[in-house]
Amino acid sequence: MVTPMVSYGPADYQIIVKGKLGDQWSDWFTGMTIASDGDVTILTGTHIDQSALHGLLVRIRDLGLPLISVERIS
Amino acid sequence: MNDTDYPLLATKLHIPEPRLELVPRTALIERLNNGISRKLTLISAPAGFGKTTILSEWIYQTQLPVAWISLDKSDNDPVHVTRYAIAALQKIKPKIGETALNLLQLPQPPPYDAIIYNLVQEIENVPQDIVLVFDDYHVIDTEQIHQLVELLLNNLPPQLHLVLATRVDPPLPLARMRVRNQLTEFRVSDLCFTEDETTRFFNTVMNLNLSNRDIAILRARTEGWIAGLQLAALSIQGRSDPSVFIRAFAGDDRLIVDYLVEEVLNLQSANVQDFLLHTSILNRLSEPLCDYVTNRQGSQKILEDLEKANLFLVPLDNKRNWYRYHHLFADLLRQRLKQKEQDMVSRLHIKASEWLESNDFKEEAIEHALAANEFERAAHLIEEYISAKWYGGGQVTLLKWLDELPNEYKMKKPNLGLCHARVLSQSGRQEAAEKLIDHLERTHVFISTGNPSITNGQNETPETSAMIAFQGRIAAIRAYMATRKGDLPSISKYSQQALDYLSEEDSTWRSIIATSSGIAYDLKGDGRAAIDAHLEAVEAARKAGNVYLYLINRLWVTIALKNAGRLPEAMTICRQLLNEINDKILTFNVAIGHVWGTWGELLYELNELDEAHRYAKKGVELLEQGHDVSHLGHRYSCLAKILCSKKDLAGAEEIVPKMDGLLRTSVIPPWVLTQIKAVKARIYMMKGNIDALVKWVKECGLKLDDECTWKHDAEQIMFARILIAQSRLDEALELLDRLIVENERAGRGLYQIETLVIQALVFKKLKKETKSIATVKKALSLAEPGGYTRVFVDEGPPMAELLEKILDAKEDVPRAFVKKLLSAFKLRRIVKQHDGLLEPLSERELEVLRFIAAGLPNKKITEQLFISMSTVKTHLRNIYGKLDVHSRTEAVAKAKDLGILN
Repeated sequence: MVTPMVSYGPADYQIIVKGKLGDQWSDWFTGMTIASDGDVTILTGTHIDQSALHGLLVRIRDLGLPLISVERIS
Repeated sequence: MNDTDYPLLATKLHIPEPRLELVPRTALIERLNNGISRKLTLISAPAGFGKTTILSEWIYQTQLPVAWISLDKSDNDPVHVTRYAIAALQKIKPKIGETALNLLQLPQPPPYDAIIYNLVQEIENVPQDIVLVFDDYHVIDTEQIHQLVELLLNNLPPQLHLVLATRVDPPLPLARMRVRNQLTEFRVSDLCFTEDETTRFFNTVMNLNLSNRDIAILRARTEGWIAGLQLAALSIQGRSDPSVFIRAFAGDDRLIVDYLVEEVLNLQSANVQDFLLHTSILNRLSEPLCDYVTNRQGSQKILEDLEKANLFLVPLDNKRNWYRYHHLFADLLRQRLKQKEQDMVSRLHIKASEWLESNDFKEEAIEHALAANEFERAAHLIEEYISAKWYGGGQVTLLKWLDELPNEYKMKKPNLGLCHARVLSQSGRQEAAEKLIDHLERTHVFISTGNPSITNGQNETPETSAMIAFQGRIAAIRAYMATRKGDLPSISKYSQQALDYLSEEDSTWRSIIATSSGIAYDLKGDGRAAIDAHLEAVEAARKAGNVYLYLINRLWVTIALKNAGRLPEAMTICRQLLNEINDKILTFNVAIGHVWGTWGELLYELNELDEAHRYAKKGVELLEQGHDVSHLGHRYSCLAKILCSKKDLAGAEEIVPKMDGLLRTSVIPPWVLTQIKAVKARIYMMKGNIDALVKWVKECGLKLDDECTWKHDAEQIMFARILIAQSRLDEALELLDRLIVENERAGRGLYQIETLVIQALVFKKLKKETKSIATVKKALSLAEPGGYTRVFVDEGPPMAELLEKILDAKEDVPRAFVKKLLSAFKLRRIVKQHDGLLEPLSERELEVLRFIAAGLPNKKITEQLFISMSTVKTHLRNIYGKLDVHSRTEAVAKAKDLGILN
C-alpha cells in the first residue's frame, strides 16, 4: 500500500532565490540552512511537508525575493 | 454597522492619501481610466512596486466614487469581507446592502451566494458608476471568499468596477477574462520605474542631484524596484558623498532590502530605532497603544516624524489617529526584533493584548495573546468573546483561534471545547469534532443519577444543575453532528437526551435541538412527532430571539401541518409569515420565496388554483436566485402540480427540464425526489401516455410488494393510479389498503385523504357501492376540518357523482362541506368562449330552468320530466355553471336578464 505520506509528506527541499541572504535569516525560514552562491541564495531544508513548503514560498514572496527554483532533493 | 462592533472600520475603509511629492506616472493613470470600461482591473506585483501609491493617485484624480477596503490576514472570513464591502459601498450610497447586512447577522452560516445576488440587485439600481477596490488581496487564502468574488464578477452590474491590488495572481478566471477583454492588468514590468521615472524620483522628488551614472547604478542594482529605490534615497539623504554609498551598495551583494533597511535604521536615533522595532509587532499603531507597549509617552511626535520622513508609515485616517507600517518594512522590522531581542517579543504581544482588551478591540487582543503563546489569557478572552456573540459571524476566525489553542484549555473551559466542536462540525471536520467531544465527555465527571427528571430542580445544587446543563449541551452538539451525517437514530437519541437535560431557559440550545429533532422525525415519517418538535423549536427560537431558526421552523411546521391534515393551523402560521413580509420584518429574498411558495401550496389544497399559481410562480422566481436546491426542487414540483390541475400541460412540461437540471447537478433529499418523480408521472397521465407510465414505473423500481415508505410515498400513490389506469383494480386496491394503513400510522393526513379518495373511486368502478360510500365518508371526515378541497376536485366527474349520491342518500356527512365541494366541481365545467360568453343552455336545461322559475322544488321536477333526482341536480349544476351563478334565484334573475326566460 502506498501511503499518501510519500507524495504529501515531509521531504527535503532546495529553494533557490535571487539575492544574498545572510545567515540571520535562517530563523525567518524556519530552520533552513542558507548558503550563498554568487548572486543567488540556496535554502535547504529537511522534513518539509507540502503545507510547510507553501508557507515558505509565501514568506519568500512577501520579502520580494525573486524565486528561481524549487527542487525536491530526497 | 456601528463603531462599537468595528472600531477600526474607518481605518479599513480609508482611502490612502496620495503622496505630496510624486513621480507622475501619466501613462499608468490613463490605462487605469480606460480600465473602467472593463469588469476588473488587476494590479499584481510583489511588495514594494507602488501598487497602493498608483491607485491612491488615480483615485485622487478621478471623479468616480470609490469604495476602498484594505484587507489584512485576519480578514480571511467571508463574513468580514462582505461586511467591509457593504460598509465601503455605504459610504457612497447609504443604506445600500442593508438587507445583505441583516443576513450576515443571522446565526447560522449565511447563504453567501444569496447575499451577493441581493447586493448585485441593489447596485443595479444605482445611477452612477462605482469603483470597488480591494487592497492587499493576496492575504485572502479562503476558498469561499475567492468563490464569492468570482460570483460577483460573473454577475457584475454594469455600473460596478472591481479593482484588486495583490502580490499574487488570485485564483479567479483571469485567462477567460483576458480573452473576453474584461480585464485590465498591471504587472511588475508595468510598475517598475523607467529610467526617466527613476531620474525624476532621485533628483526632482528627493532632491538628491545624483549623476546619471549613479542613477544608472542604482537602477541596475534594484532592477527598478521602487521600494528599493526609496530605501536607497533615504539612505543617501544627508550624506555628503552619495557616490561612495552608491558604490558600496552596488558592490555589496546582500539582499537589497536587508542591506538598505539596516542602513536606514542605523541613520535613526537609538530612541527611534527601539520604537520601530518594538512597535513592529502591531498591525495598527496609535499614540496610546504605542505609549503603552513601549512604556513611554509622546509617541504621536515620533509617528508624525516618521510619516514626514516617508519612513514607511502609512496613515489610516484623516485625523492621524491610526497608522500602520508598510508591510514589507514591518516584516523586516519584526525579523530584526526577533534576532536582537527574542525575549521581548512575547512581552510586547502581551502588552498589546492588554491595551487592546481594555479598549474593546477584542479580536485583536485575542490575536496578540495567541501570538505570545499566552494561552491562559487567550482562552479567557475567547470565552468572553463567544458568550457576547454566541453565534456571531466570523466562524472562520473563531475556528482558527480554537485550533491554535491547546486542548487542555478547552478542557478547563468546557464552553470553549463545546464551541470548538460545533465549529469543527460546521466546517466539515467531523472526526476532529468527535474526538474533541469524546475527550470533553471523558474529562468531566457526571452525576450517576443520569435521569434529571428525578432531581426535577428540587434537590439540585448549582453544581449539579450546571453539570446537567453541560451534559445537555454535549448531547446537543452530538445531535448537530449527527444531522450533518444524516444519522437519524443518533439525531433522535441525542436530541431527546439534550431536551431532557437542558434547562428551560437554555432557549437557543433547545431550539437548535428541536429543529434537528423535527427534521429527523420528518424524515422518519413520524408526522405527529415532527410537528411537535418543530412547534417546540418555533417557541424556543422565538424566546431566544433567533430569527433564522424562528423562520425555518415555522416553514417546516407549516408544511408538516398541511401534510398531517391540519390545514387551518398551517394557514395561521403562514399568514403570520406573510404579514411579516408586508411589515418588512422579513426581508430576505430567499426566505420570502419560501413563504410565498408555501402559501401557494396551501391555497392549492383549498382549490384556489389561480392564486396558488401566482404565489407558486413568485416563490420559484425568488428561490431560483438562491442555492437551496432541495427547496427549489420541492417548489418546482408544487408548481408543476398546480399547472396540471389547471390543465396547463404545456406549462407543466416546461418545468420538467428545470427539475431534471437540479437532479443532475445536486443531491436532492428523498422527500423532494419522490415528489419530482410523481409529478412527472402526473404529466404523463394527463397526456394519456400509458407507455411512458409503464416505463416510469420501471425506472422508479416500483413493485407491488414494496414496503410503504416515506421515501417514496408520492411515487407509490402515483403507482396506484397507474394500476387503475391499466385496469388492474384488485392490485390497486391491495396497494391502496397498505398505503392507507401506513399513512394513518405516520399521521400523514393529506395522503390518507388522497388514498381513501382513490380507493373510493375504485370501489365505485367495481360497483361496490356500499364500500365506495363508506370510504369516501371517511375521507370527508378527515378533510372537512381543514377544508381540503383540491384532493376531491382533482378526481373529476366520477367523484362529483359519488358526492351527489351521498347527499341524496342523506348519508351522515358534513353536508355543507360536500355542497361546497360540489360547487367547486361546477366551476370546472364552465366552458368559456373567447369573449367570455358562456355556452348556451341545452333544451333539457332550459326546461328545468322554466320549472325552477315557476317555483317547483326538485322533487316535483323529477316527476314532471321523468328523470332521477341526480339527473336534475346535474342539470342544475350545469345551469349554474353556464350562467355563473350560485342559487336558483340568481339563475332565474340572470336568465331573465339575458333574455333566456321571459
